Amino acid sequence: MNYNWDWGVFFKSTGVGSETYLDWYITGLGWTIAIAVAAWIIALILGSVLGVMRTVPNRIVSSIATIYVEIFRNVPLLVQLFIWYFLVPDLLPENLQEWYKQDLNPTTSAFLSVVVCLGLFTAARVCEQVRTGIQALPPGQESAARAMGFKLPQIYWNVLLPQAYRIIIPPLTSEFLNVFKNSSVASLIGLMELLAQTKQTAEFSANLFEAFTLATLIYFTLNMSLMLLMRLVEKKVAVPGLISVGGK
Amino acid sequence: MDFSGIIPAIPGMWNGMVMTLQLMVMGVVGGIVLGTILALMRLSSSKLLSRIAGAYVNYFRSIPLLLVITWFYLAVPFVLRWIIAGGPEIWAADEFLPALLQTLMYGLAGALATTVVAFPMAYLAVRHPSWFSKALELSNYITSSLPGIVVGLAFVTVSIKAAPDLYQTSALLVAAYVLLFLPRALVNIRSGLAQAPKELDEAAQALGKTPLLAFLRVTLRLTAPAAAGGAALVFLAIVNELTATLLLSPNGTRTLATEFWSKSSEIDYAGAAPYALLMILISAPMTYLLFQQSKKAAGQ
Repeated sequence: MNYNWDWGVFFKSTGVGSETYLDWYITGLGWTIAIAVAAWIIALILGSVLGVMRTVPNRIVSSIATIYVEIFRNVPLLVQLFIWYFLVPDLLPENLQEWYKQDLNPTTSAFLSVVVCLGLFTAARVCEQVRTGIQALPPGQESAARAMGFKLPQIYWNVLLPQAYRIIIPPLTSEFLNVFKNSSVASLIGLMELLAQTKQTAEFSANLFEAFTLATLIYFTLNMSLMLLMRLVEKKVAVPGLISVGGK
Repeated sequence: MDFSGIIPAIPGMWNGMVMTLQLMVMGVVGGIVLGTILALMRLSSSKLLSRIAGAYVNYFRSIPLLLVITWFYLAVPFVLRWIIAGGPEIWAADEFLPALLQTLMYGLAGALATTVVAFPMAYLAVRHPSWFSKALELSNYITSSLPGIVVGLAFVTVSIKAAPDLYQTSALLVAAYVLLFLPRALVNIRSGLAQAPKELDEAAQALGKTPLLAFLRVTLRLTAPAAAGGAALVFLAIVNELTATLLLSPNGTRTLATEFWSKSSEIDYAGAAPYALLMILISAPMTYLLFQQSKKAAGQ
């Protein structure tokens, strides 16, 4: 194989300031984590609200949530990102448009677009998981809470949601990992997250395989660590007899 | 809003949609086939298969789709280019078939000879322990602690001085393999014999069998799996052995290891590739069998 491997490339100077290629990766990883965490907060809050809306005994409310889910789940993430980045700013009121396009620096505006896009996209998926978690509970739970005089918001807040979240930890973990992976679409609108930094490293250093191998390892380690962490959380919060724990 | 610009783009979008559908169908079909195979592997009673499938799933589930696409876009053409770099002639069977046959022949002969030599030594060590059997057993570990080149050169020196007719014959090469890899067979047969109770042999004799027949029908049968494990280990070692083979083999001998060495020392890595691949292919089933055997022995 006529390829000269050079694993020391990450410690070499990029020629841009005094940065090494490893510094680029660290910056990229920082952006990836920032995008994923911010988008996950939006997704978890909005997805939970929508999930509850899908299960409440009100057809209009549940239809609104259903329409949201169908729209956001059936349009590719990439198309949604381009809409949020290229189209939506043009539809904003004039003063907001000016703030977004002129006052914000390009990195911040790209970051906002990605976070909103990824957050809303993932919310549709979280919504479905919250719905299935609530519906997986025995109907007697809700009836018993009603019989004890709980109001609908109290039933959800005190009885249904705490148990539903425990049931859906495995699929939520999977979704959380997906947010990290999906954050890589940000590279397509110029935000220098991990994948974009990897591409840049590959182009600057001409060490394609080393660059992409390191990115693969970082993603793999990050996601496997999160998976193990969530398994521990799952075991910790499991309700005995309600769900199986840790894949057992 | 002005959608009139869309109309001229409709044919292009139509083509894009067709391409999307094609990719989707191919992805779904390929995904179902591969996914089913992986699911069966994960459910398999073989821990090795289950772990391979688990590793595949964890790997592809942990990295973004864009990175997967980039890997395939970069790595697949690169590997393909490397495979076809030497041209189709390097994959011609008449190039590597003789080397494969000779490797198999030496591997099997060496494994058989080593097992035959190791058996009486192990038998003495287990059934009739004495200072002689212990010394005999321990002396074998000396050769295994020496580098292959030292043993090879010793064989060259001794054969040239004491038996010049034997130098560069297949018999001498097999003898070198026996000396080099005897401990691998010995350890296996010794543990197999230790697990075969002597009392069973005695019971067979009490029932009227001659000592030889009792040994063949009882002890040998009980020790056979361990001996086979030892023979497999020796076979694997011979397939990859280089130093002694280069020093002692008859003129014109071509094994996979010597051909790989010869090609790679000429910096013909593409030409060396088929030999490396064949060594892996020969070793893989044997390694798998040994793995299964060790699991059974461990009671898993």
